[in-house]
Amino acid sequence: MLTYLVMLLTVIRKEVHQNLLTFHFIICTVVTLTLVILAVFIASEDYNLRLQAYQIKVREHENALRHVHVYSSLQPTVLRPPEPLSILCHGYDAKLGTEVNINIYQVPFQAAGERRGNEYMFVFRDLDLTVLVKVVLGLLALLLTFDVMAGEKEEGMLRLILSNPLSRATLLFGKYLGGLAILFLPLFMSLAIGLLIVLFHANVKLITSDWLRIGGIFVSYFIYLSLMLLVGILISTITHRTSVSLVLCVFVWLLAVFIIPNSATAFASDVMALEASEQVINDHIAQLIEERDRLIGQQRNPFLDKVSGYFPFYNWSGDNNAILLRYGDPQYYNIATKYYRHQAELGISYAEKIFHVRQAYEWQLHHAARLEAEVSYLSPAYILERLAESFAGTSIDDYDRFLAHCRTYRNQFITYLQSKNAFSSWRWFTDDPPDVKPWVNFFGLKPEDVTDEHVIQHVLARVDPAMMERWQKIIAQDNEDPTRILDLSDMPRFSYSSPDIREIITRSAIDLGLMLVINVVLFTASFVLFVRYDVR
Amino acid sequence: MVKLIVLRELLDQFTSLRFYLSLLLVIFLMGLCGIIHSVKYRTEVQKYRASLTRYEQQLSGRTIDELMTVHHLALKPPWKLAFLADGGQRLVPNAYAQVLDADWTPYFYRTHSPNFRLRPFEALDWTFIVRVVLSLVAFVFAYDAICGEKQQGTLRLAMSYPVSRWNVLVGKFLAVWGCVGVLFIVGALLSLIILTTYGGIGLSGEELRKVTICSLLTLLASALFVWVGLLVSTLMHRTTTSLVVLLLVWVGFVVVVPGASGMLAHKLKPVPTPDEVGRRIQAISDEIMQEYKGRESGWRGRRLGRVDNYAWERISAEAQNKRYARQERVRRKFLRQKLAQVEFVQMLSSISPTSLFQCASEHLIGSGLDRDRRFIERAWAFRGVLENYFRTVDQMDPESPHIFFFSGYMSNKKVDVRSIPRFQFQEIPLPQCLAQAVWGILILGLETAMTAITSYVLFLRYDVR
Repeated sequence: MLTYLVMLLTVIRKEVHQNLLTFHFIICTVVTLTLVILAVFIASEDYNLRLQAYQIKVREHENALRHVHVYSSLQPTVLRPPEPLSILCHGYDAKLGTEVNINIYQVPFQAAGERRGNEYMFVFRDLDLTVLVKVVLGLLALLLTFDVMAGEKEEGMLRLILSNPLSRATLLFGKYLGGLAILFLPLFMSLAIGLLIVLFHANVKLITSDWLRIGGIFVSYFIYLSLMLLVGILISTITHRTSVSLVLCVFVWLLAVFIIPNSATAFASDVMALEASEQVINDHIAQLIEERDRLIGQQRNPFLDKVSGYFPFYNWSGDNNAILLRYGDPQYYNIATKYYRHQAELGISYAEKIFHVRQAYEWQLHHAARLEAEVSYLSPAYILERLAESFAGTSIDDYDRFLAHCRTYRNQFITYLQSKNAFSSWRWFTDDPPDVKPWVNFFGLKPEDVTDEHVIQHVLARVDPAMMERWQKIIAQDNEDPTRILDLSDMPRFSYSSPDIREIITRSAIDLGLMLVINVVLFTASFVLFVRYDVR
Repeated sequence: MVKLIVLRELLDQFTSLRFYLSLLLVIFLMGLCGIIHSVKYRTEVQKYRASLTRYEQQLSGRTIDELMTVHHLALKPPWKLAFLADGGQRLVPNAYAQVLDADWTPYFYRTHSPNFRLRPFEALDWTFIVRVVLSLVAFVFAYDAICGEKQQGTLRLAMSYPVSRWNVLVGKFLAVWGCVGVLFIVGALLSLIILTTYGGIGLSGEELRKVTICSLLTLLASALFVWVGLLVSTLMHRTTTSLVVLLLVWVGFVVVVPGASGMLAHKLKPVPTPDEVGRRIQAISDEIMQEYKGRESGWRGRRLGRVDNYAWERISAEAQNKRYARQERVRRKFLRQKLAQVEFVQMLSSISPTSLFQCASEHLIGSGLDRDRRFIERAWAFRGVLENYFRTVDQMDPESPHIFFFSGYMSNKKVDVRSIPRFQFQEIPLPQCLAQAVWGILILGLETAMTAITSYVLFLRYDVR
């Protein structure tokens, strides 16, 4: 056993020494490190900008919540914070939306409002650590091993080595471990430099779970590089000349890194026809909304249309049927309560219908993406990208996860509104106290006495500027009145955090397993072939 | 003598594994390119027609006043030569919607948004295949041309014959170039056959000329790649080192330079964020509001407004149009900045011959940024055409208040739908394309000549033993 270990160590040491000072090792390492510095530095600055924008928006929305007068205009906007690990692995993080408005009329299906960057800048895919590992270090892995057998054979070394009491398995294993040891160096250095820049330049505090995820990213990179090493070894044991082996490695690398993923996506994007285009879906949704509004309109009460003495003086409306009425008659409010409850109920039930229609469209997109994935699984580089994104929390699944959180939050939000009896109380549309003084009282009139003439005089026409001024003063006063502002201290708040390591491992178990299985298969295949290899 | 060398080299290449691997790869990709673009162009034409039909439906049976609030559409036709160089046409906005009433903000958008769940990818067109595959193939064919022979000892033998070194080098170049050229021509013909038969895409004379010229440019670019391969081959003394160096050069050309220039451009030529632009636009609204504060303005309806010949409305319209003009200036500046940023990236990445080739071929067939810019300028100019038209037809109606581009206060007469001007977009004509591309082509040619000369000089000093 001990001699075996000594042998193994000798092989590893020889392999490391042989490759450490080679031209390609130095060049690849230097190129990777330089680009890592550039890429991580720029990504950190971009992250800082995104974080700043996020914080400003959060503050704005928090502020807005402090000035809500009625439940109908309580429509919180929730935000997805930028992912710190996106600095290392960009993924989809800065490309998709981050902002979702929570209201009863819509189940969230997409996020909006983001820094999409320059939409005309399409060709130039930005570099990040994952791309560098995938392309440059992946190439280095192949360059380290393409001549591992064929090269030694050409020089006649292989015969010599095997004349020692050294099993072929040990030799193969030693060479493999030696390759891993060499690759560990540039990989570890790039990650370490990248993290140093992140720690010093980006506004992030990495917590334990972040470090675990970074560990996950590192492991994914390592498994990928080990896979590429084994591909090189396998090709080297198939061929007998280094030049052939190298040419084969080049083609494999080109296919795995550039051709397969790109062709698969191009095919899925342009050839897979969607059964229903977005236009058709949007038309369908518009139809549903029209139907909903018609149903709402059926319940309309005569008070709401006609201007009379019962009508509220002040009427403000906003997005998603938000409404604020003031200084109306209790009779009017009682009827309005029924109307608005009806409106809200229809709104909630139609939100579900609209969501189902939209979901059918999203399924088509999913379908195309699945086709892309099925073909791309031929390429280890693609699996690496998925794994790294998954650990970094920047995958498309994380976007879905955020939206799912938003939907859960919307349900909590609706439950909260129901618990407050919001839909069937005055508070849905007015902040007037129960003993409201209608505007007619102000003029010493009774609602039934009010004629069109009065209405025009007092409400519609600007006949009396002094009167208008007085009204505006009252309205401004009431806007600031704390008793008229909703107390939202017990409202559930939204919070989103990146998935923890356990969740990530569960969801990327297949990818991880696949990578490991390919590794084992490649090693076994190389072993079998090497046992039968003619070393002369 | 050169002929003999070329023939021998060609024979060598044609019997090698790498030639067949490359042939397979090129045929696969060019075939896929043909299929993808056939399907894509067909669906794009359908979508284009559908969008136009929708727009036509919105136009019909409307009064002039109603037409003020219709989204007038400027639509970029599907890009027929996308199989040559897509130039991002599948991603960038292809439509411009504007409402003549200046209360609405016009916007560029994409009529059919791409599937956001898919990964970003590069369109599978000829320039992609040349840039990524043929360049590498040229390197793989050329890496052992000189040092391989030396390793085998045949170079010494060849030099013992009465043949000049220049002839040897040129012979090798011609052979490798021929191989790469054969690959490209076979692939290109295959994809053209698929496009015309399966895709049913008919190419006009002008388009065929563009295809031909672009193919010639490809041959020039592959000559450059082959010369780079030969140069490295004469620099190195071992075949594997030569290929390793070439691979690293290739990674530099294809991945590092474009990626790094994209990142540098964000730093060196930044574009304001949409938030910042939004704030500037809001500031203009506030300014106008201040400017018109205290002046009597508003919407009182046709009947009430007639009292003082729409004095309030005229002021509102004036404020609105002024705000629109000022905001539009900001928006256009923003868009021009974005385009300039892209141009800057292209300039930076032109250090890499593969990117230079990409850029030159986009210019050459009028794709990419040139097409975007042309569309944007035309779409902006289209507003003027519409405004002129509606001003004229509105003047003909004596009952109209003639408050231009202020919905509610223009003629209630209907117009003949056919007489409304429609957006027209012609592709960039060839001479203009050539003028755009001439610098790129010249530099590519110059680089080719320089690499050839350098290789020759190095080969003269090469120790063939």
